[in-house]
Amino acid sequence: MGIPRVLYQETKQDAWIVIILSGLILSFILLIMIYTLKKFNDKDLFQIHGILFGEIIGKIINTILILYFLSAFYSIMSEYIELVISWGNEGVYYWFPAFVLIVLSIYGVFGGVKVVAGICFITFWFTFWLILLLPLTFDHFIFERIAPIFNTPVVDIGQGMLKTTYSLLGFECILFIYPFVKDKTKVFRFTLLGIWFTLLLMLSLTIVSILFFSPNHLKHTIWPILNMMSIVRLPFIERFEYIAVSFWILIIYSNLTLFLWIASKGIKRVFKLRQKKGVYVSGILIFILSFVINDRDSTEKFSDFVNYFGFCLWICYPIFLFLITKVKKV
Amino acid sequence: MNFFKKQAKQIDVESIKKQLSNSPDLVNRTVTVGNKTIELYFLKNLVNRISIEKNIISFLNNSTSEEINLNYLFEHLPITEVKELVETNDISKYILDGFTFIYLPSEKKGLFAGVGDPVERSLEKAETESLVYGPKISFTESLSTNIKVLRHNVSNPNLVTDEIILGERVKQKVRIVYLNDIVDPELVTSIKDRLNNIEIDDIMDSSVLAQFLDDNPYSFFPQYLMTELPDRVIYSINNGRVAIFVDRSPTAVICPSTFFSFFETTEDVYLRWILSTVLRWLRMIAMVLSIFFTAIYVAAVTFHYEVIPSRLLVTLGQSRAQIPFPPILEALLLEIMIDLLREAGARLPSKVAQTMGIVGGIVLGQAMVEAGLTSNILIIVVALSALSSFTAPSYEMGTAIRILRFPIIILAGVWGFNGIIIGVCFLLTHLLKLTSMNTPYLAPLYPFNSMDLKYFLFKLPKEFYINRPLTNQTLDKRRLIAKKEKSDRDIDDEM
Repeated sequence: MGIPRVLYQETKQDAWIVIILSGLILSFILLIMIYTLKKFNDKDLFQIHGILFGEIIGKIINTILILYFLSAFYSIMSEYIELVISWGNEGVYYWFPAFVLIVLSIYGVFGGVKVVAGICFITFWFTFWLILLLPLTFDHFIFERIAPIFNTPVVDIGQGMLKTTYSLLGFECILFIYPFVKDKTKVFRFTLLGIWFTLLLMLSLTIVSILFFSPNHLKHTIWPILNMMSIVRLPFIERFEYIAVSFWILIIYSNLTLFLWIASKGIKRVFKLRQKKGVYVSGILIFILSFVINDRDSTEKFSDFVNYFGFCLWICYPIFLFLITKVKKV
Repeated sequence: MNFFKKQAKQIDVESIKKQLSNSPDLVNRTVTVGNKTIELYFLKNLVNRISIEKNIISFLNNSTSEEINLNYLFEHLPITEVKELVETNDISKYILDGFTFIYLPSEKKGLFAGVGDPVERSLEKAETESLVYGPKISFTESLSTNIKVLRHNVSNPNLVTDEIILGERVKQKVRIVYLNDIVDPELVTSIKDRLNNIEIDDIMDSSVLAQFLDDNPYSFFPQYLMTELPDRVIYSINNGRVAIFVDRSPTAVICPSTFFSFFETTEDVYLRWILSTVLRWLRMIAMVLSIFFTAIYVAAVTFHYEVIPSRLLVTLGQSRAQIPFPPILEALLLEIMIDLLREAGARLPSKVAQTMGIVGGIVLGQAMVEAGLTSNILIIVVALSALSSFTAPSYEMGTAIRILRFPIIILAGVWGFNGIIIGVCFLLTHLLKLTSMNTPYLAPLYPFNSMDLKYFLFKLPKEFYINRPLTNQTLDKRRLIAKKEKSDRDIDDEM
């Protein structure tokens, strides 16, 4: 939700170029990932680490992965709670939405991989229609705002790409879901489709925000998309963004269950705990965390850290992994 | 010799009496033809007396004593259903089923003659599921009548009706009905396995059986469709499902059933496709309305005044100005009242129920508004959502939806729209977790199957129905509908 602003701060009106460039990079990374996965058929990344680096080092790396997914869970959740507390739920205790969302995700994960996939699939259709509202903001566009193009220094574009890539993270889940996919030949095609769909969505949202807001306004709006939605006025609903804020739960819900599922799977692999216990342990850990990191500053720092962490893990690390499999000739 | 005969006979009577726990209804009638005696045993309440008198006693009297032996009776007795005695323990079982045991002391052998007179009512119009179009006949409490109705409608040798006896104390016949060449054989075996694993004293009704078959007993969603309409059963078995009948129960259990099959009626098949698509969607929207409408009202009034358009807000504010309760209490009060009305209406005799509907609905509602306990708008909202919940073709699903409304209202009262969406998430996850006889409950939405949507979500013109629903994994995938030939007739060309 906040992406257009972040990008705009870095690259001004050229943000859309950045998005396309990072899309290309991501596709390349994905290609490498799938290639590596194909080498070890029917293994997820946790098991691959065990094979490549041996028991102990593999476990250490897997623990890092688990920590990543738990912190990614928390960062998504805290960003949403931040949003919900500022829009219409002022004064709600921080731990309350955290508790509800954690319980909800635990309930989802308990259904197993099929239910998690189902949640991702169905919530997508439940939220997809929100995009259709964007054309309603058309009246307020000023097209000159996109021009002039190509006037951002290369360094800034690099910075922007860094930020885009980690907001596009999520495709790394394929490393863990891969063993459950029936038709392995289509994995690459559909994951690529997923990445480019997200990219296209982000592209259109960014362009719309650039056209909609004046430069200064956009720089100071934390959730530009939400602000745009308040323009949308239907005959029976005013202030549409309140509904959008609640529907946002569905979007993050699929992410939360997926991440929690991966984390608990990892806990099962590393610590030989039952997955159910892993889910409970992770839930409790995250809940405790919600008492520690719960104001605007610290959550922002935390999610910056998670983003950086994710960037290292899923953009740089796959290349390393790929090279190692090449060297070791698995 | 004589001595032995007498002894054998006496033992028999005693053992039969013992097996039937000394029932005073047991009649032991002796018929003497020449030098032979023939003994009849039956329970007098269970048999058709005229049949015994005409077909057995007078038949025996008209035969000569030399003729009478077991083989002769077997071949010539003017009764349709005759059975041989295999085990002594069978005697009580058959007598309890309305057979007459004909015992020949001279041969120490006997046979059973089916002269039963089962208790049943005549075939009537369906009451719980009403259709505007289509056949009106409904099943009755008698299993044999139900099978008869089914056989009359489906004259197909592939219609299989397997019988299983269930119940420890009360033996109950259960029939599994399916079309042999269409149904997935794995489905039938898994149903039989589950049925054989049921341990219960008495299966009261097919709905109890359905609960025993549930994959998820802790859910409040019905997992099997219950119907009393033969055409609905036929429609289902034609699509590769299995129907289970229980003796003494007028409803058939259809398994597997998916969530969306609870919103289709056979009327959808009878009506033109556009109409039935619109009606089906109307029912779906009604379901959504019924679950969420009151909750949205509560959420909007409690937390999100901003969402309501300003003109409506004025009206709403005026109607709520006098009300002393918070919206959630107000809504729960009215919802409970509506449910009380419905429940009372269902329990009362139908003549009184109408009066009560008027008293409860109009008088009480009006009085509540005038007394300033609820707002007019809430009455409209609650009435609308109650009305919507009655559109579900399945009574069980309608009830589940109505109960589902309460937690959502409470969530809405606690955390506004977010609460409602949290409720939606729980609901979705729950539905995703459910299975009905190992078929995903939300099929064909998830696992997504675009070809099956035409069966569950909407209806298309008949040319599109070339395949049976893939979700059911039928043996014979194709339906026998001739493909429409493409005509290259231009405008104004003659046919």
